[in-house]
Amino acid sequence: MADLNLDDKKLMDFINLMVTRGLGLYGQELMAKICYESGIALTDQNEIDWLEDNHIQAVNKLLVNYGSRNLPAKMTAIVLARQNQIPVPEELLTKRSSKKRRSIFKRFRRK
Amino acid sequence: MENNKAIQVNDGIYWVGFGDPKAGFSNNPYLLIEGDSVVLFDPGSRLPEHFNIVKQKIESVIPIEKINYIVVHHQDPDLAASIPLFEDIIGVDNFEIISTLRTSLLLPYYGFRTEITTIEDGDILQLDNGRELMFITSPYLHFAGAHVSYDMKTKTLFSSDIFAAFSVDWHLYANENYIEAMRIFHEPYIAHKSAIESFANKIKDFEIKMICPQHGSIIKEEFIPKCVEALLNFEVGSWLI
Ligand SMILES: [Fe+2]
Ligand SMILES: [Fe+2]
Repeated sequence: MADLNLDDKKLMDFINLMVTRGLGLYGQELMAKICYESGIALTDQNEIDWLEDNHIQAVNKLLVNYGSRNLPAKMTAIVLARQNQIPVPEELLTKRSSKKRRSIFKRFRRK
Repeated sequence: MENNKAIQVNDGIYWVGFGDPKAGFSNNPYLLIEGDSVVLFDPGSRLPEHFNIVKQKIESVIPIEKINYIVVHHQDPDLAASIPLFEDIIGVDNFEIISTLRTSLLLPYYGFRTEITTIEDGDILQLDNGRELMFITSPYLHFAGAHVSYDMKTKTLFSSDIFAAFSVDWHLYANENYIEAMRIFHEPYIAHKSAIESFANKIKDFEIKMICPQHGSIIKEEFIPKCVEALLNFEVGSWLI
């Protein structure tokens, strides 16, 4: 994520969007916990603040913590990130959890 | 046409479906065999009278246990309900079910236990002998998480419900009446033109020599431009009146 032009305002706006959607999905308490685990404070008034200096990393963690709990959350995290030009963490794009799977993939890059 | 034998339609590609004049639409699972890689696309219905035909046709070319991949282009029962029956034969986790994330939310409700391998737009599955199978998402055609598959060797598009048709007078290969048979399938089924335009734009740079839809007939190369043009001009969303 490091070399992208993601200023603090854009990151804050994005977190606010994730939180707004997340309040619907997770409720206040769990949403606050997910934020805290990601290095972001969420107050009872649903205001956010940084708990970690590396803000890009915090957003990355938020996407992972938010998106790893269930499929609807994963789809929401991926689509919100893509709509807002925020890189989707690889952890959310793994094809399966089991090591038993053997399929190998390449990626086609569109022009 | 023999009702218990697969029909080879391209290099390593077999039609293992059945015409269904009673339902008014054929059901077309396809099998792709390349070395030890065996892919079954949209396996079909779980009704015994349907499943047994598909099973027998697959067995006419290869034992069911050899299937390594079942590609499910969306979650509808006409194409996905038989997954647990195939799982009973192949064994849990002895094969991979391939679909998109959105579709993978719904598929487990059919009652199988094999883990789903989720694909993204542009993922290319590596098969034996360097053969490659590309997955292209086709959002809202007709399901948000729908996708299609493209065999890069034969340039065959497995299009699922796109380019599908209703037909009582069914033929394995599309004839001059096919556009109208496609029309009655698509116009009430697809909500909005933009989904078709977005998909057409995605595939425009691919050379396509054959289209294998999940209902209706296989479209040969010379007829593809006409079918694409028709698809782009269908008056979709016709139930919105
Ligand atoms: Fe369908
Ligand atoms: Fe279908």
